[in-house]
Amino acid sequence: MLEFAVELRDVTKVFPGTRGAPEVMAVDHVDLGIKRGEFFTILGPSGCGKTTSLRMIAGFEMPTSGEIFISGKSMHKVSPNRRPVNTVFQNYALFPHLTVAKNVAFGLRVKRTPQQDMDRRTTTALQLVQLPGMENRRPSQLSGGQQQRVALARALINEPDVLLLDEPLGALDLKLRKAMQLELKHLQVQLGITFIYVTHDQEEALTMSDRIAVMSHGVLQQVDTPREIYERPTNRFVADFIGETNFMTGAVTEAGEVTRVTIGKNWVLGMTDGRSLSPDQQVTVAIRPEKISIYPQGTVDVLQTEIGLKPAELAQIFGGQLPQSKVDVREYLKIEQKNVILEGWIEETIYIGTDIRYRVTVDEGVSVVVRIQNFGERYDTTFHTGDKVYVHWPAENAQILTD
Amino acid sequence: MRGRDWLGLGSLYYLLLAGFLYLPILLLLIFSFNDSESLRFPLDGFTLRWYETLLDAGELLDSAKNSLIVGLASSLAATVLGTMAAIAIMRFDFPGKGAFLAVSALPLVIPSVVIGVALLILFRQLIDLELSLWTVGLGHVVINIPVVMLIVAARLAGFPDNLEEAAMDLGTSYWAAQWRVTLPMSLPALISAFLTAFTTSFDEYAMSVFIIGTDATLPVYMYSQLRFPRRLPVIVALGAIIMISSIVIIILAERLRRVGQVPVTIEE
Repeated sequence: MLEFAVELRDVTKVFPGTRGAPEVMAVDHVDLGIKRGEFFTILGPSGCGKTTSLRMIAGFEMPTSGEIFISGKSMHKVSPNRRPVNTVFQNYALFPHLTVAKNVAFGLRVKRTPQQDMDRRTTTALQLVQLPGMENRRPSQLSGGQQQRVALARALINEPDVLLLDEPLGALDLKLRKAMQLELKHLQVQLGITFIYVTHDQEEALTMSDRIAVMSHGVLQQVDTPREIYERPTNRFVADFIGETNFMTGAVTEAGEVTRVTIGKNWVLGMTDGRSLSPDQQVTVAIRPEKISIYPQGTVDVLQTEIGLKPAELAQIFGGQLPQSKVDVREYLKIEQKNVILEGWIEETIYIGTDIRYRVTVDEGVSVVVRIQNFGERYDTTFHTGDKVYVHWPAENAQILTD
Repeated sequence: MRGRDWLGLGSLYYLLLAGFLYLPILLLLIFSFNDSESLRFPLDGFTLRWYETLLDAGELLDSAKNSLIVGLASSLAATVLGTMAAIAIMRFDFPGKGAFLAVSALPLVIPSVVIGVALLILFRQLIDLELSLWTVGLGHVVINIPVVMLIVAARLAGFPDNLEEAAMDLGTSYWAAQWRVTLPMSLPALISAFLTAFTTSFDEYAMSVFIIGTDATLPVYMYSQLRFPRRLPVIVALGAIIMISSIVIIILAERLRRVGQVPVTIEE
């Protein structure tokens, strides 16, 4: 299929056991189609099989079964040096005995490119990665970030069909890493080359990718756009690995497009997303902290004083008329269709700077973490540990997970 | 005790040690210029005649030539084999790797006399091979492989193990990657290993004497001449020459071994 730059068909990799260690199934029957020009990330914790998958695409490992296709051609028994791919390694793997220029031009020299062409293309490549004039330095004279760019230039100069990147930013400090993420993304868009990127950093994956494949224990969990992965995780692993999630387990009482789940003395709602559920089935309700709203318990006037709602806004919610102050906040919240309102109290407050997190206990052993953006003093929505509160969310903010 | 006191004590210890080791060599050097056939004090006067005699000593020069040839050939073989073993140990995983390493390093801990006897039995009793310079050469290869392997393995440990993969990713075959990356980077270590092996081979006596045929190597010849008291000063002069050159070669080998080790990365 020409639309796929790289295809993995039912690829499995088993590493034989040694004395004292059993055999390891690093990659378990993986099917993947990576589109041309895509920035595709394989994401997962250490040991999930992502690096092994990348190495099989590069040719450093051969699949135990299944086949890999690059640009439509089978890579069965094709050695790495004959594949139209280049790799950027985590430790850069620059040749210490060669200058930057000789490092970058290495691939061209192997193909016996004329010296003039090599020089011209080396200069261009170094400009592309923003390292002009570094031709005669040695790798040991460069900082980590600079070495990273040389490794990138060395790979890109060969104009591969696909660029493979194995956690290339792992060794850099946070600020530099974030800057490089944007640079890499811009470079990929500019060049239009297919990038296959491997990382365990989910924020990195969300920032840079067109699509993400989440892996765990050699098995693909979900392959989707960053938005879908974040908003609609297919299982508990994905919901847990990406970002933060609150998990609550309970039994199904009503199943439909929206499912009702009983948790202790409360009930909550979540999106079924096409899963087939039966009554009394044990399921997990997943909701992210930023998707939950928090309100003080008490009467409606407290909404003005504590949360700063203007009278006009209040009037609008209650159908044009300002409600009596003695109306409970709960009544205000009930007005929205299909929403969840839970009573609880704040057990813990954590100030992160950009936001403030509240752990709200709603039942015996059941608590949810709520994130409120730190809007500043004028729109201050600060609560305190021990406050009695309502937590609230509309059904579409939560997912029902069966595994 | 304070730091400085330790330094003084350490220096004293070192001086005593160096003296103990090198005083005999110094004496050798002195006696090689001594105008007398016996090695005793007081000295009898300065002369160069022992060195002059060396130039005419036919048998002696023949044995020196033999030592040179055996040394160069066996060092080359040991360097090649030892390097291959080092690459296998450092860059590959295979069953029996631990055993392979242990067996390869064994000649280091077995006394060369024992190896000599063992090889003698092997050559004469088991394979019925005539003793000659070839058998001596084989013996020297055996005792030098461990040293080469360890020197080269140490060098390989100093750089990341995926440089060959990087080279292959960029278009070379595995063997081309060795040629373009691994070997150039290990070159100082290889030369150092070669020189070390050569010096060992050139000076080797204990094993060689068992498996040598009719052609002598230099140490074997020198020892055989000690029966003749009048030849002693000539041997002493020769010994002085060998000693000085060995020291020079070993210093060079050690310098080379350290070249290019531990590259430093600038902190971000």
